Amino acid sequence: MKRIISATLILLFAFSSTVSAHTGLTNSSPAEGEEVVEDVHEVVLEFNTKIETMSAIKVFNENDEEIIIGNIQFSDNKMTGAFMSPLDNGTYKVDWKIIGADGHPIQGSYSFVVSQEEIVAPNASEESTDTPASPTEEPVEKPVEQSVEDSSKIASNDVLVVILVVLFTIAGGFFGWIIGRRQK
Amino acid sequence: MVWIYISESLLYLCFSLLIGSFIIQFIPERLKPEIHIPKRLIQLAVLGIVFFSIAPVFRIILFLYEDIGLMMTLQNVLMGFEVGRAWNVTVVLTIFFYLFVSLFPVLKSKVFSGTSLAFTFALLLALGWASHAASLTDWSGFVFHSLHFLAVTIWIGILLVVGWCSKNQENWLSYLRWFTPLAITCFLTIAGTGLFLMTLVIDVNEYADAWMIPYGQALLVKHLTIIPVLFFAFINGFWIRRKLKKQEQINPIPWLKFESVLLFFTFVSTGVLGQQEPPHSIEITLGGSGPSDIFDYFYSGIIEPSMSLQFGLNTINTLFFIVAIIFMWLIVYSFRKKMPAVVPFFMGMFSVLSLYFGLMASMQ
Repeated sequence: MKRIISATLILLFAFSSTVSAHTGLTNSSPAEGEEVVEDVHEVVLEFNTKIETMSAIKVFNENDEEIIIGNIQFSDNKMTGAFMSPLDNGTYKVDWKIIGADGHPIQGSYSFVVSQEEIVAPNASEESTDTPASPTEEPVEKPVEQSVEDSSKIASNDVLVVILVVLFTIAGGFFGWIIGRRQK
Repeated sequence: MVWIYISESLLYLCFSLLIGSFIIQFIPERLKPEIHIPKRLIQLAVLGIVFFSIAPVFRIILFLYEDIGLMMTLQNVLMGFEVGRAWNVTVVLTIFFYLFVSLFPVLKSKVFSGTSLAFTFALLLALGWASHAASLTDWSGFVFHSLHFLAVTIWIGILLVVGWCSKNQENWLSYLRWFTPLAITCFLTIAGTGLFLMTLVIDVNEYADAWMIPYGQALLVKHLTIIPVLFFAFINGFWIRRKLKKQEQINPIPWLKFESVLLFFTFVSTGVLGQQEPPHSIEITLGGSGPSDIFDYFYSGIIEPSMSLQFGLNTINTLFFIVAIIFMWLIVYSFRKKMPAVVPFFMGMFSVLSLYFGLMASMQ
């Protein structure tokens, strides 16, 4: 039962994280949507650019409580955040905010799941069934938004026709003006 | 964000002015028209570099200071960040450069002009250091970015100085004899290095797909603004030369001025481009930051991160391309009919607009 729940969680979060993921992050440990069966002491994020030292990682558990990160280390394009104690079972969301060496601020987030076999917290399964509620809504809402936009497209076509007419008028006007000037 | 675009464009302008002013000092008198560059202009351009290069630093400070506090942010950004450190170097160099320019007759002696050129070059490298391309690669991004920018400033700098600071049009033919090959060399360098810099950020095959995001839109606009510049460059470099050889009365200076104004638009679009988030994967950027508003307005389908754009001809875009060709022909036609240079200037702008709308309308 627990396996099925966490599997669906991963799927849901993996889906939502492709939407919220961002340019810059090339590799991470634990990886996006990964189900980790060992102790997690740290998160390591790798980027495609050298990052500045004021970049930040925040990790939240499924109740949206921030997990305190003891110390963040930087080496070129790698950022390592170490936890005070290994993570309990559950789903975690990692929010990162970096500044690349070129000064471009970039931010993003992703999730992973910790599920160690031996420790099964009695109330963990209950909580985890609650959490997917919010991410499931996202994919449902998306297409609705888009179809509303569709109706405005006819208008944009009209705008194009108007622009076209204006441009042709300007071209014609100038051509006439040049011809007229020559004859004087 | 508009302030940062304007500041970037003016920064490029300052660099071009300095490079152009000092290079032109090395050209013998008989190979150029009489040029008078006010010293005040040089001083202002030097100050402009400090002032306008602060914008990216300023933006990071604005981004961070709420979380960490202003003093901490200032300290960290100026001491630790590449952008901040590059700006420190810029400030130190500029202070000495400004004193040097103010105390010595930099436009009178070749030695002083040469030293000033070296100062400007060092500042240019400091700018390339903190560029996006430099942050992606070990050295090639830095080298190509600096080379790209150097070629731009040489070409446009000389154009600006000759266009706006020349007193008369003496020696114009001998000036064109060296400037035209130089401009072509610079342009080819710009195109080559630009292509390399582009491949660092997007796959050339995905050029059109990148139009879905702000970066690709800015890149497209930048490339389109080069088209009227090429028309003007051709007229200035070849047609005016032919007319002057035939002893026809024509004043080439307004044509140069409008060519430089057109190039300023390329600067502005480059400034906009430089501040967009570079897409290393269009799919991910599209998912993360959403599509460009302009693209969203023109595109009639549902936008999905993994999609690839399809193009096709329809009545509307065919008409747009036709009107674009008419405008380009009008550039040439108005030159032949001896119209003032402002007319083809506007024709050039309208041809860019038509081409842009034509391309936007061909997405299906």
